[in-house]
Amino acid sequence: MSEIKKYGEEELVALLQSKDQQAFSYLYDNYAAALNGIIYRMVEERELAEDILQEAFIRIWNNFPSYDNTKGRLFTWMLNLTRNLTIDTLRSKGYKKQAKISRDENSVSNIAQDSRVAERFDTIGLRKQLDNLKPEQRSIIDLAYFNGYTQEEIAEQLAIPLGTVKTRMRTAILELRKILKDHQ
Amino acid sequence: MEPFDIISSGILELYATGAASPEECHNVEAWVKQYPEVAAELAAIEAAMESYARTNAIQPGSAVKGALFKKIQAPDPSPSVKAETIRVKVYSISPTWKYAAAASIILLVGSILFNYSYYNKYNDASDQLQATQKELQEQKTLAKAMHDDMGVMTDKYALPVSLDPMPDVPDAAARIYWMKNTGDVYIDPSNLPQAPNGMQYQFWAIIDGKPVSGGMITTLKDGKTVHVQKMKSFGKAQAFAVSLEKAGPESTTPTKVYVMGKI
Repeated sequence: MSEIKKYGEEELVALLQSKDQQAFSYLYDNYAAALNGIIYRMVEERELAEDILQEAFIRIWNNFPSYDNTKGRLFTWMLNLTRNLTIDTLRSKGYKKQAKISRDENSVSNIAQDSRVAERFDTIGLRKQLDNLKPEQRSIIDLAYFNGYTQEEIAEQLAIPLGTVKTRMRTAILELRKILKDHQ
Repeated sequence: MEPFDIISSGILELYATGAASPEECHNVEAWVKQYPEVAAELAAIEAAMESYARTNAIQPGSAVKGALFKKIQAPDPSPSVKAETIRVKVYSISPTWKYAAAASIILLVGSILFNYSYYNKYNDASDQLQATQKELQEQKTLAKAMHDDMGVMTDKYALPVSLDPMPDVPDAAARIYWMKNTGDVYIDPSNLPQAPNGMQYQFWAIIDGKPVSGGMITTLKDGKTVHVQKMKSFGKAQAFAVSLEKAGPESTTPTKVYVMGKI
């Protein structure tokens, strides 16, 4: 990872649990763009995405005492909270999860053209290397991670048996990990 | 499940991408606590996913963070959180507003004084008005009584009869008005001497040589001399008389006649 961390995760968690606003500011600076990118992928509307992002961080702040770091990484917890909030917001607005597979396959490069893509993290080289992921591997990761699809929805979307979603996901993420490792 | 089977099943990947069912999530969380190698594998997957998310990062508008911090700095409604110092915003007031505020206070005080003075004047005027109205009412009552008296005296059917004094009471006099059409009798007792205490005048009609009571006469009412008053009606009578009797119920026969008049 190329970003310089001011806090270790454990220290950050401890400070946030004691409602340290400086730590929260750091948390925002460090994670807002990544979460915003995911929300944007789901809602495809910048203003709405930012509204949801703000609400998500308010919930992160308020619910922080309930975060249990033995259950998983901080980012995963924040992401799950954010993704659920986004799904609820979309449902309340009458949206349906719409599969945009053709776009999803290229969406990372689409977003790369966005002038506001965060560049604090060295993503350009990595994005190029992610092109080495097979489209179907990219799809299965994105449908779950960015679009909030359930296993059943993924199986239906990709027209594969439900039982193979797990193994396909594992294969795809192993490939992703390999690319990331090579990039380091 | 053994750690190897858990890791190779792909359930950790589903968990990390948010696609696991609630039951699967529960299992994964238990395995993570139970098996360090599962925890390590999940951590590696989550780290990879975090990096992947960052390749899709989109910097939000700079206003978002400011708005967010404003919201979290507002008093926390959750009661479980320990009390924090609440920052109270201090607003400075521009000199213009200070003068405006001072001016409005001066105006307010002036207005209160003005109102107080006017309230007193109003009370005085109100008292005077009430006194005047009371006087007017008295005058009206008096005027009406006189008008009624005049009405009786000037009625075209009224037959005035002078009741003349008996020889032993030469100062006494009274006048009656007998309405020929209705038989109504009115008496003006104002020329009778003041009745002594405990005594009262009684009116009589003399019919076929016998005295018939026409009722007790009121000479004073509310400290004022009573003029014309209505007595009992008599269709026929030869004479009318007034006698002095003990105050109270009417006498059946006159005790001491003061005045009398024949028709």
